[in-house]
Amino acid sequence: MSESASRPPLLAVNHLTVEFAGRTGLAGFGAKARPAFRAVDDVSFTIGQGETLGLVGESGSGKTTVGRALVNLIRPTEGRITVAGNDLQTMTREEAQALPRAVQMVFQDPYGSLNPRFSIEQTLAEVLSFHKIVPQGEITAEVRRLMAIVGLPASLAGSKARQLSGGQRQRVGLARALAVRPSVLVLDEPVAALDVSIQAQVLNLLRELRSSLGLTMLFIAHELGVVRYVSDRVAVMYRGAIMEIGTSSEVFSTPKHPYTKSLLAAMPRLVPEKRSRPPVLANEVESGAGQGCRFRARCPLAAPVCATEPALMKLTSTHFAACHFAA
Amino acid sequence: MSGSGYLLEVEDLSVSFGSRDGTVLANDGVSLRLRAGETLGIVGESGSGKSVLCRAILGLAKGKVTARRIAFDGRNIDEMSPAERQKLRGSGIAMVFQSPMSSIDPVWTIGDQLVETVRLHKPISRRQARIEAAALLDRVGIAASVRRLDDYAHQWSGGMLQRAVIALALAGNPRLILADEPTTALDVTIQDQILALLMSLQRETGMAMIIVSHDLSVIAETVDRVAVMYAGRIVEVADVRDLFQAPQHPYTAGLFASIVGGAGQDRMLTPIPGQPPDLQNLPPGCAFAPRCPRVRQDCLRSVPRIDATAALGNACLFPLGEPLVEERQS
Repeated sequence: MSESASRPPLLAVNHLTVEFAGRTGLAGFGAKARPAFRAVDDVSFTIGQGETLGLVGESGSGKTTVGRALVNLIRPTEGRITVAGNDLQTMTREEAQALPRAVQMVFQDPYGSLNPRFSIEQTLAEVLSFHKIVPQGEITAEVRRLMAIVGLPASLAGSKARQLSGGQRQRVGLARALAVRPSVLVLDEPVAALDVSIQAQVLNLLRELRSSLGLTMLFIAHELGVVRYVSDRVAVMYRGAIMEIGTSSEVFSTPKHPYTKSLLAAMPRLVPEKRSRPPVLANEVESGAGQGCRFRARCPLAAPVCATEPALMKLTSTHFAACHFAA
Repeated sequence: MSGSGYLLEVEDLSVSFGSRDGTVLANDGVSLRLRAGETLGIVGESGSGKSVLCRAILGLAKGKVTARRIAFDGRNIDEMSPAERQKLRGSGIAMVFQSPMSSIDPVWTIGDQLVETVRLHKPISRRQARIEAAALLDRVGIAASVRRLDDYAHQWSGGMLQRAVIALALAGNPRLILADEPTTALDVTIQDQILALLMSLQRETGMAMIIVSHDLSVIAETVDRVAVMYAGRIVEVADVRDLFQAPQHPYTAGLFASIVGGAGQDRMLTPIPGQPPDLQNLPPGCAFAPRCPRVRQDCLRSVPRIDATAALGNACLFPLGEPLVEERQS
């Protein structure tokens, strides 16, 4: 079934499925119902205490939808998500009040995810007082502490979002998520909008916080190198399902799924050598949902057996791949 | 080919925008030269001026543009008539923009847009132009090209649309293609396809190409020479191998130290300290000085520049002599 994490699981996702209702045309103008679109299809994984799981995939793979389901921004169609044994869906009202403290999210766009009228201090103070994290009198001190954790100088406390650079804004987003002392942090493409010199600052900060605060993270990104840099384990998604999951070195050094292999081979190398090779995958993503393995239409290994959808196959105690030819 | 031997010459180009809070110097004394068939990479972070430079070459930059000389095939663009300049765009120089979704008109069919572009360059009938349009789609690897001429943009994936944009650029048989972040909006497997397509088209036609990217790994595989931009200035120009093996400018070296080296690498990143420069408030000397580990007093006095007529060089008073990055061969 699901793979065993190296540490006792803090977060467990079981058979998560998310469907979006399909509709074409404008409502009232000949809109017709379309079959629901399954963005996430029976996804299961766990993350251990203090562990970082990287979730990679191309656009449309469902990685962001998984992240949003974890913070209850999207209701799962099926499946269970538990944090330290508590089911996120079947919580009481009081438990739900505590929910934002369980899982917090850092968004991709550091420009769109901050209130432009709020200073850094107001942004953080609001979260602290809403969730009653510290007594009213200690809010200013806590704001300063959070700013220090993410490496923002105290002199910026009165600055508004527009006065900050992209990297500084992303630090505010991180401080806001950390303010409620979450059990799990979901980071959705946290460095994709940043310049490389600033990306490195934020990536190093995440690595530092992981060890100093013992953070448990789901790190969602499309860039494989970035994912490898911060993740203990990595899951590769393709069109709604996990194709391969394992430790970083298993997935990056000994990939077993042909999709993972293609992704790695398609990455441009940092080696100055003019390319003459043909593209790794010649064809485009097919839009229609076929039967069997979802990678079949693009797969170099496709065979008749692939008409049956492969389940995640156990390769080692930590490494799983959903391919008939993985073993 | 002109006497100078260069297909494109840009000398001392500056572009500035007025804004409410002052003047933004988006390009400051930029010079570059390109030979026929050569591929030049321009790397830089956001705000470094790389897109503005492309637009200025095409005469499309907003703001105040001044240059000692911008010449294509030996002819000064300033001295061209509006009609000649119009002809230059498309049949001399063509541009491929970053976002294919915004380069294609959603309410026209792909075929209509190709036919219009083909007929701008050649006085032929619509029927003939349609045949050429299908041939162009063939060249960029769109299967069933004739049938797909009647599709609209929304029916195509991002990768297919970028192929269509490249087909539009090829319509006038340009001698130079400016590709501004041509794969940034695309998934990695699709990026791989588009880069392979650009390289094979270049081999086939012998056209020159300028590839603008923030991604050093995209540049590594595609170009002969690289210009690195920072704060609107070119700070280093080098052959791609030299740049990767022994960057001279501390900013270039800083960039290499701060990127994740692709699959198979796991070393600690060394970020460039500080923040990108404020273009309205550049320091008097080298713009990188406030973030530079090698900064000295002299760096704060005047702006170091590369000789406008040099093909290679760096704009640093104290360039790095030794290789800083070990060669990253996996």
